[in-house]
Amino acid sequence: MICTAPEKIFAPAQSRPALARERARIAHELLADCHLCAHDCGVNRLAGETGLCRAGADAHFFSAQTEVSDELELMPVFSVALSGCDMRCDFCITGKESWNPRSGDALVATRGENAADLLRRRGVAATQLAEQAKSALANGAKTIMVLGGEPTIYLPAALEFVSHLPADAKLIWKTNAHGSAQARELLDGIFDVWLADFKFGNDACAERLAKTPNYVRVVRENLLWANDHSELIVRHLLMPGHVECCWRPVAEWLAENLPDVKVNLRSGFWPAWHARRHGELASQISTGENETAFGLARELGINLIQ
Amino acid sequence: MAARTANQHSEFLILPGGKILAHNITPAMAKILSELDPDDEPMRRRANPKIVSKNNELPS
Repeated sequence: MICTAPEKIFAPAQSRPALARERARIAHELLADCHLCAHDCGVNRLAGETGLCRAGADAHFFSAQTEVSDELELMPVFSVALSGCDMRCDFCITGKESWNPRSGDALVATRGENAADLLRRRGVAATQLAEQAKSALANGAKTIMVLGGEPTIYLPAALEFVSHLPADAKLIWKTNAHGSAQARELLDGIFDVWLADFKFGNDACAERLAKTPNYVRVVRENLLWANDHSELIVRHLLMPGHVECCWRPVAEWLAENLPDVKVNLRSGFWPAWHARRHGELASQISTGENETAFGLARELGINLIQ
Repeated sequence: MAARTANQHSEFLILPGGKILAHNITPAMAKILSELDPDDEPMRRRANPKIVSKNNELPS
């Protein structure tokens, strides 16, 4: 269960690259009994078993580039998007890549392989990707972001990537906030900012639109933890027909429990991927809904950022 | 790595009314979008991120 406190599995007080390297090793071993996300499947991904995310042991990534579409205070961001996700949001803007963990190029961990092994696995080494990130920093990128899909399901690769980055780089963990307590412990002290989605205000919408049970409890738990352990920015994508059932409870909970947290309320929904399976998601957010949503945010004193 | 650099991408949706929704916006795409609508202040700031880093408050 995600609410069960895990045993401490590593010692703190190392430099971030060293800490990330050690945790990447531990996280890789934990794939033999995978509990990285709150689905808690317990499959042996090292032996080829797959859980709800269908992810194997090796990560893939479908994008690695400098972007300026994230929060103004974070950009320009060098973003590495890992393929695959543990949620199944029908409106996912990157559904093709997020629902297929083998989309894109393999991100090859360097667990003692030689150059010939890397070549055989036909991937990009984590060290190469880190060099690209460092080059982006040298050319004006302000931060480095690891996202997905959902990066939690590929914690070994994400941590390996971080282990090759400068210790003083500002790192962002962009997540659906559906990770487990085990994942949180592996992430503790690694990323400077958690940029976390709070998509649904109730479990019924999460089950219907994303096939994710117990959503609200898990996300709340992760947000409270992230706020205690790093800087936290919460994102909510306004969805047509979901202002009252999703945004209102999210906003009210944030106002009560994380009153100072930065919130990016996004109104750029478009009916991507399988959104049209749900009638209310076949269009954009209306002007009226947009005004209601931002009015509610102002009324509750939500700390909105762009 | 050069190949990945060459594969930079953004995605956008042009609505019937002319409004453009975009994500994965690269600096180059931000400049194009900003030129298409010079009155789009948020996009102007994204196209000129060094200005943003000095002044990132919400517009009034």
